[in-house]
Amino acid sequence: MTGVSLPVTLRDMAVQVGDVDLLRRRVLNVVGHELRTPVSTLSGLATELEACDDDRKRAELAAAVARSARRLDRLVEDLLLAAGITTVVPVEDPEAVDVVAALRSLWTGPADAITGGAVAFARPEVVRRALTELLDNATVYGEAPFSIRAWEAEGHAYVEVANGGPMVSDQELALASELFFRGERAVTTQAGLGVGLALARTLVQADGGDIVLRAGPSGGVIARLELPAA
Amino acid sequence: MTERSERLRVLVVDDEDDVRLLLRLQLEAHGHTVTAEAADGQAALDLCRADPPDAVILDLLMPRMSGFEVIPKMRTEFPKVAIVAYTAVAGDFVRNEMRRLHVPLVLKTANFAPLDVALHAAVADLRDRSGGPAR
Repeated sequence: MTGVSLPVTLRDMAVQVGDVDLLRRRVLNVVGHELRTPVSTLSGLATELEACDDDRKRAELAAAVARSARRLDRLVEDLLLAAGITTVVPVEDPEAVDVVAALRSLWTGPADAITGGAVAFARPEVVRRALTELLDNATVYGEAPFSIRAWEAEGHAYVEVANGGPMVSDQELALASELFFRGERAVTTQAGLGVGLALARTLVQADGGDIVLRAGPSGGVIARLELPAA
Repeated sequence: MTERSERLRVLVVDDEDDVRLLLRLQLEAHGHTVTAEAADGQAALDLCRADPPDAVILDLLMPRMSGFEVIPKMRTEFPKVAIVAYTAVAGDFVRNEMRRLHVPLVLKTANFAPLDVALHAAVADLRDRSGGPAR
């Protein structure tokens, strides 16, 4: 299995890149792209909402405004976390967490994509955040078919989220997983800050586990979450 | 040039639901007709085959088939359909690619006017070159 090294803060990235100007351009490029769409959409939707006198359309617009605002909120949270400005550690104690129940509460695809069972011993918010990232990465960047499997072995609880898609080399996978580290060609085809996965991995490691990505044997990506079993 | 008052039939291609919703409302408010909406390049090609529009508003960053990948295919299969690239941020790579492909580029903003101008200009340009209507 190939592990992927994920820098967590801008300081980590600067050390890795060794070129602050290059880092600045990369960060601004990705942040600019990710912020511009929800900001411009939010502004346009608000303008349309103001002018709209059709109740059905107003409800549709209001829902869209709320979605764009939530997306902005999450982006800002990720940016602050990446900048090391806010703490990411949830203030709760580890407890037994049914990972399949957590998966079912987050997964919006076909129910039969989830198989197996496992109970982890970790902070519930850490489990929720890690599973959210794994599922988001699979559905946003990957393609069907999706399979989600949970099991326990040798004192550990595992969840694997696999998605289809083109063949991915280990090098591509490593690059795609690094915070902000996207060449411009990559940015043009894969939107996203890539912050969430790196942060989730840090939290999981603090609870004695790990998140590891590897290429699928016939394309796509397999992301594995490992935590101590309850 | 086409008259700015001309009503165009437009296919909207963007992987974000809310961007498509906004574009649909803005296009309709300006008298245009949205023929269909697609969330990726492959769906856009399928929808063009079913009902060729006058113009396509094309996001560049999409899963499955990106705008970059679909432009050459669209140009080959639908040479009389105008394409306007619509993206959030355009660095040198994006600008050079759009220049090479002769596709006008509009940055995403809340203001619909630049996109409206680009749509009319792209349709007019195709008509001038082909000497006939866009479809």
